[in-house]
Formats: sequence, C-alpha cells, structure tokens
Amino acid sequence: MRNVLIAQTAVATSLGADPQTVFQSLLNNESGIRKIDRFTTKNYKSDYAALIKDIEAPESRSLFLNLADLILNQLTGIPGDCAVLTATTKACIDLLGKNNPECKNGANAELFAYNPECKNGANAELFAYDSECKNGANAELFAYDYLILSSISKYIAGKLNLKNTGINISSACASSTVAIIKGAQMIINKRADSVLIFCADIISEFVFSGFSALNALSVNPAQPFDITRKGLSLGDGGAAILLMGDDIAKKNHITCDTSVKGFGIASDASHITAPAHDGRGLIIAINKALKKADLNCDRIGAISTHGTGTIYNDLMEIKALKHIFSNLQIPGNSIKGSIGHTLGGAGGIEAVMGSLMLREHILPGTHGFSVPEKGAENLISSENVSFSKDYLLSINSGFGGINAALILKREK
Amino acid sequence: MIYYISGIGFVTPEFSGCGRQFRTFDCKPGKLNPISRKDVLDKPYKPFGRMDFFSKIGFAGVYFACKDANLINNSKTSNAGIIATTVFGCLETDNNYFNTIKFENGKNASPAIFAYTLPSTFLGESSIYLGLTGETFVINNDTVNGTAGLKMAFDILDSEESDFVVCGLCDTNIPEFLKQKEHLFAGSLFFTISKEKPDFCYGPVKKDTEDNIYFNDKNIDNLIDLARVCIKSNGNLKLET
Repeated sequence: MRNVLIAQTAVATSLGADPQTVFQSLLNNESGIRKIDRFTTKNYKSDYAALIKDIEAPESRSLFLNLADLILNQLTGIPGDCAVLTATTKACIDLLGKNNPECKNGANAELFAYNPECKNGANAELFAYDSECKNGANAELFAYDYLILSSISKYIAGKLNLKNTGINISSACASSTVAIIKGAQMIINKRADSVLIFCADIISEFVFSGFSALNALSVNPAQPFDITRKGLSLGDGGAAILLMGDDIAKKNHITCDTSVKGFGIASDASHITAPAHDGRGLIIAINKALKKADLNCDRIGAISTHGTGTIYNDLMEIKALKHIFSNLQIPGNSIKGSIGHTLGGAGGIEAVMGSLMLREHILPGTHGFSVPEKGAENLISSENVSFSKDYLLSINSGFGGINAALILKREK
Repeated sequence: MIYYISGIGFVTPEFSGCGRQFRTFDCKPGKLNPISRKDVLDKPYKPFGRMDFFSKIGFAGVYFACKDANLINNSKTSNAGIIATTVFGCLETDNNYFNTIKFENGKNASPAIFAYTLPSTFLGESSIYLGLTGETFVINNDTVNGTAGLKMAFDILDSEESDFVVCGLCDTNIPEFLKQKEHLFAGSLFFTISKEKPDFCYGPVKKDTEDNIYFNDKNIDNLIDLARVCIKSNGNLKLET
C-alpha cells in the first residue's frame, strides 16, 4: 500500500508567514492574540483575536484572498497535475454587503473570475457571472463570486497553474483535517499521485459576531485546558500541505520527513453546536486512526489537541483522551492559545506544526494555560516538552458533532 | 468494485419522497416550495422547525433515502456516514444572518440563525435524528454532478468503516442577491449505498480502474441521471413495512 508523505508545507498565522517562524514563536511562548481594530467590537463578548496585519485589504477585496496569496507565495514546484482540496468554512464572507468598484469597465476581471483567460474583460461570455459585467455594469455581481466556496479551489488552482480545479471540503472546524484525510485516501487508492491541501479562514465580523452570540468567545485571550478558561479566541490563519505518494516522491528525489499514517472521522450524533459530553465521536475517530495506522495507543508520543478553550470542548477532549490513553501520561498541547482558533485552517496548521514537532521531538507549551482543568494535569503544560516516540496524534472537532483524527509519523 | 443502491430520497420543486414511490425521476428546474415537518416526518420533532431552509431540504432528502432503504431505526446508532455536494450551500442563510448584524454594530446578531451558517450543519441534524456516527462532510463544487462525493463514498465503504453511506446533492434556489442565471438543480437528492447487497436494491453501481462509474453497465456521470436510471429500472416497488 502506498505511503502518503508530506512533501511541502506553508503556513500563515498571526505569529508569522512560514512554518519555521511560527514554530519558533510557539516554542518561545508567544501569542498573536490582541485587542482588534478590524471592526468595532463594542456589542460583542470579546475584544480579542489573533489578526494577521499583512492581509488587510482595500474595501473591495476580501482579506481571505490576501491570506491565500500569503500562503501560496511560500510554495514552489507544485506538480501541474496535482489534485486540489481546499478547506474553508466561510472563505470570503467579508465580501457580503461590499460593492466592487475595482471591477469598473472590466478592469481587474482576473481578480474575480478564476480563469486567467478573462484578463481585461476578454472572454467574459465564458463565465456566467462575467457576461453581465460588460462596461462595468453590475459590478456588484463580481463581489459575490467568491462567496461560493468552490471558487476558492479554482482561485488556488489558477494561481498555481494547476490542471485540476478541485473542490472544497466543508466540515466546520474539522474541515482541514477531513480534507487531509480525503487527500490521503485519494493517494492510497491511486486516484491521485499528489494532492494539494489548502485550508484557511479569516476573522470577519460575520463570524466574530456569531461566536459572540453563541457565548463561545472568551472575554480575555483563550486559555486552553485552564480551570479558569472562558471560551475561545478566533484567529486569521491558514496552511498548505502537499501530500504525495512515496513512489512519486522517490521518483522525483523529494525527501519528506513526515507521513500520514492513520486517520479517522466520526460523528457524535448528539448536538449541532456542542460536543457530546462523553466524547463518543472523538473516541471512534481516534480508534479508527489507530487501527488504520496499525498502532497501539502506547506508540503515540504526543497529542496536538483541538483545545479551543471553551468549557465543553476541552472537557470532552480530556474525557475522550482518557478513554483511549487511560492515565493520560502523554504530552499534549493546544496552539490555539497562541494563534487563536482559525476554524477551517485549524487542522491544517496543526498538522504542519505537528510535522515540525515530530522532526524536533519537542511539543511547544500551551500559551494561556496555568492551572489545569481536572484530568489535564499530566496532559497539558505551559512549558515545552520533549518526547521521543515517532508518532503524533492530531485531533479536531466541529459544529454538527464532527470529529477527525490524524496520526503523523516521523520518517527517518 | 461493486456497490449497491438501496434507497433514494429527494425534494424537488415538483415532488418529494422515497424513490420506490415513483416510476420516473423527471426533475425540472423550478422554485422550491416551503417544507414543513409534516411533509417529512410522521411525529412531531421540534428541531425541524428551527432549521433553515437549506437544512430542511437536506435533512428531508437524507431521511427519505434512509426510509426508502428501510434503514430508519431510532433505537440504535449506525456507523453510516453522510456526504453532500452543494454549489451554493447555505448562502441564503448567510445573507439572513448578515441582515441581523449589519445594523447597530451587530447588537442583534442571531445565534439561532448563525448555527446554520455552515453547509454541514444539516448533516449534524440528520446524524442526530438517524443515529449515524460515520463520516460527515460537505463538498462544495461548481457543478451538480456529485460524482466526487460518490467516489469518496466508495472509499469509505472500501475501508469497511461504514456499512452504508448516504451520498447526494443539496441546493436551494439561487440566493436572490447573487442574481445568477437559473441553476440546474434545486432541491435534495440522496442515495444510500452499501457494499453488501441488501434484500431490496435498485441495482449495482460499479467503478472501473479508470474511475468511471456505471449503473447496470450504463456509464453515469452525474447523480441526477443515476436517480433517473435507478427509479426507471425498478418501477413502483412496495415499501417494506
């Protein structure tokens, strides 16, 4: 059976725009969560989030596209026949309500049509939306192209000159882990030789207000697994991961130090916005991943948790992990205390950081954690922790009761 | 590899229900009608009333497919998963939520609507009602062929982690504010697919080494055509009671 390797990675978060910089910042116990000024928060439960300043955009363009460019600019030599899977929950939702003056007279058409043949308004009739934009008419139509989530995979494919336009996977906060798993399955089943996973989300007032309305935001910066935690902090962020079959990597002389060894996805079938208290779905997902990797749980060296900082998520994860790992004497962390919860980008960023954690055999401490929630005493630390085993478990959960687990292996 | 289609369920502008109640599946574009709990479920179920329109039609399609396949058993959970493909997803709901925050600096943000601003929420609703603990995710694609989802359903069945997968399409009418041309498919259409041949099934669906899909040896490149040939090939079979 084909081995699925991680051939290339890219990351952008409030701590930096490349994997090594972000990883070092995590090891230095830094946090990008600050009081925000992107929109007024006076009627919301929190003033805090982890913004990426470099993605601020003019009124007409979505911040998401600038974030996408920040990530894509880190990639080189992506195979032209690579499959594409994107994972974003709301993509360019900040465009809702915006007009698009940049589209007057067909200018910048390529920003809004994902086909590079549409420059300067040419071939506008090829696209259902563009044909109504002649001479600048209905410019606001273009503003909404990117609200359709499938447009993102086309944007990514267009930017990287890829033959395949791809699809978006939407599974709430587990979207990117699900996308990685689907990409791995495509490679194992030989439906693709390589798959580019692109995942990201931005902090928009749309999403911020929603989490505030659900009372999920922390008044102060998030404190995952801490007994005094009050909720989550949101973050801008995203990642790109090139998965490749080991035979293809070998043929192209590409050295990879991490592989995707096991994976599992399962549903709680319990509640649409809260996790099942007994962690049943996460337990099933982790067991599926262990079975796929053909491992006992004692081979796992470290755990990258979902660790949002909400009361219920962190309790659920402790319960689920205790069920699998009994006395829970295994180092774990959450990076959401440093970079916030990046929603669709979360699992992908955590997988990229997970590959560095495996390479260096070190787990960054959990920023914001101080006094442990009961059950987390042996699991979470505010200090960096070394570990020696070669497998890392990465887990994510999301609205709708979805749970996803990934096991990464350090390849020597 | 061979898989079996045991149930079909759908909501369209003209008709809705279980595949075995129909002789043909002649789905034309049109405006979807509002849908109530009584159109779908026999017994009261409060959460249905709270769902947004996209979730209601998606939930109904999944429910009808499972009912068609005689897979409804509320007393136990199942390892089945759900994969839905959509073009517009919950955009209409997004716009409805946006209307609650665009004035007064978000003071009136509605948590009840926000909960449905993910296209995957209805998968959670369906999982809860039907007790399904398998994989659930939505594919956002710009076409309604749905075959990417079908191939991923085959992957799940090949891994033997699920006894059956519910796979299909779900889209509301194009949201007003998008002002686009008529969309090819508005409604929901779901299939229950298994690797083991059930007692009653519409027939086998196969995938060849080139990833082409066939139903009864006829090449299929979209789920709407798959529904047409499935229903036509089996006529008006009596439902299991």
